Amino acid sequence: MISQAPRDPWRIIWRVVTGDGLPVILLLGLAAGLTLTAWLPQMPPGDPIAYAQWLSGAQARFGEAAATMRALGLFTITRSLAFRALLALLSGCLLLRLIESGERLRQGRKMFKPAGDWRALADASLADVLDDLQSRRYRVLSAPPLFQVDRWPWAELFPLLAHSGALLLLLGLLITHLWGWRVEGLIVQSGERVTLPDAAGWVALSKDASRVTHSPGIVTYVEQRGPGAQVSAADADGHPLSLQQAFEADPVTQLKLALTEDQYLAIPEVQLIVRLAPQSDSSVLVQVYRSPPGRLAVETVMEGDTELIVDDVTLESIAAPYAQLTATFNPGLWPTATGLVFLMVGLLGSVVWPARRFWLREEAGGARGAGNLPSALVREEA
Amino acid sequence: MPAVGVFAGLACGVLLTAIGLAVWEGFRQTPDLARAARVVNWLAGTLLLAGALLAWWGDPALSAPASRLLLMATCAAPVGTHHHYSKPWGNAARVLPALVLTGVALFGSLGPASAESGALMSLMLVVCGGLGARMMGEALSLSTDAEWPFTATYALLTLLVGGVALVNLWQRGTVWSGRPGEGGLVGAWLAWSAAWSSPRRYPRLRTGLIVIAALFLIVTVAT
Repeated sequence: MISQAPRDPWRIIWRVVTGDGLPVILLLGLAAGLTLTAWLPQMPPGDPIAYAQWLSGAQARFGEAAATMRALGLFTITRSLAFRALLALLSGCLLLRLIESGERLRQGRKMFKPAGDWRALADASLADVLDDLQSRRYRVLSAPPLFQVDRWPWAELFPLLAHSGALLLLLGLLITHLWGWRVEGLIVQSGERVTLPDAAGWVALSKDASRVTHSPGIVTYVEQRGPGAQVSAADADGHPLSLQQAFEADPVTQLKLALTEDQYLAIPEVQLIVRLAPQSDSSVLVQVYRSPPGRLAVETVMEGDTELIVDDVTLESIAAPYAQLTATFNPGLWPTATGLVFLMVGLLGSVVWPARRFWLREEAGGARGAGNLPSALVREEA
Repeated sequence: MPAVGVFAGLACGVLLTAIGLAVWEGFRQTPDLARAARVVNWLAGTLLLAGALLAWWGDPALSAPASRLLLMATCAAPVGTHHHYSKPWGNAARVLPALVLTGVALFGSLGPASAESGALMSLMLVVCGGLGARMMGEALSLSTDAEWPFTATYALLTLLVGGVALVNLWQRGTVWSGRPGEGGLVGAWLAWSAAWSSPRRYPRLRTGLIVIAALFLIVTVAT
């Protein structure tokens, strides 16, 4: 009876985790999840207006299936436990492979035992072949009569760089997820400074609306720009009249409006209603109605500052363009950016300069080689 | 544009002929057939290139799915290469992706045009998808000596995904801009990474992974 050696479970786990199969499965799982997000609209977190828009869109598109799809987590793929578990497993896998890559780089200094079958080389002397390989930036180690040819250290350094880059990128994304925040749809008008929610910082727009400034540590992105107006009204004697945007709003003598859509305001003392409608060429259509009966009194298109006289009332509008911004605080910005650069350089380096090791020796019948030989070196078998 | 349709239709017919010749040659290998197959492949490639250039002329941002598919088919057409395979369908499999892409561009109902990305970005994506389709053809023919489309696709895709992520980080402070299609692009890159990491000692597994990765990429680019 043949006795079997006890199998070491740790060794098996190490082999599985550092092998090629597990990363392939994890990458395919993540790829499937991310590709699905391109087809299925994902539920926006936080913003109730965006959520309402998403919900109505999803129900219109998928009908009764929307509820089942929601229960299956198809609208929250990247926030699901399964997706995060795949990312965590990939991180662990990358860490172990990083350790293995480091070890491979360290061990690459010395010569290895030849592996594979010995094959005859194409007609050329070994000295010429070695000279040619060295001129093509291969490293040649010699222990006569044997020569080892490989691409150390770069071919081993690139995978190390790619693994460390991927890990840094994942770390950066985790830091962003844990401590970062983003405010979307922030509207700032020219010359205005807005404090972000929870006093997390501020954003300001210059008077000519061309430049956005912000508190240190945050990044702002202008999603959209548009016209705006600072409106005031005065009677025949020059006394300011009160303006109201809604029935329950407090009357004010000056209103600043971002014209993201049509805006209305009332001048109750003289019973006028003003409509401001943004036009496609960044001008603004101004219509003044009498209330009652709701008849149009004056209509004009304004560009820049405008003064409009209706009966004894002077309506003054000063241009105050707006910018719609997204403000982001990302404490993981630098690890993410460094990780991305490392990952790109590592992967492109591995693609252009992959690891290759082979051995050459001179024999009576000519030069022979073993290992991962370049096809140009090998003699075609008859 | 009717001229694009004419060129695409002619290319479709010539590609069908190329497949027929390739299958015939697979069963009865003669030098004349191989020469004819090479000429037909060249003709198909030329017709596709003319159609794709016309489509690109009319739609520089490549916003219409049909334009993108035609340009992808041009990159995927195996012009200038012809091998003797042990399997009779070897050369036919290499032509198949180009034929399917041209056929879908010609007859498929592909929904409205989209103009989410810039012209250069769209062009790079389409070239990437075309090279991916070419690699799919090589993988389906079980060829092991044509690795360059794989390497080129993966390198270009890595540059694209990495570049977009870095630009997003610089401009918006986050890796994701939230644009539609971004998830698909990263998904396609991850699928190519999986194919790249797959062990080369299992060629059939590698072929399967390349086909999956190419499909991810083509669908992402075309939609």
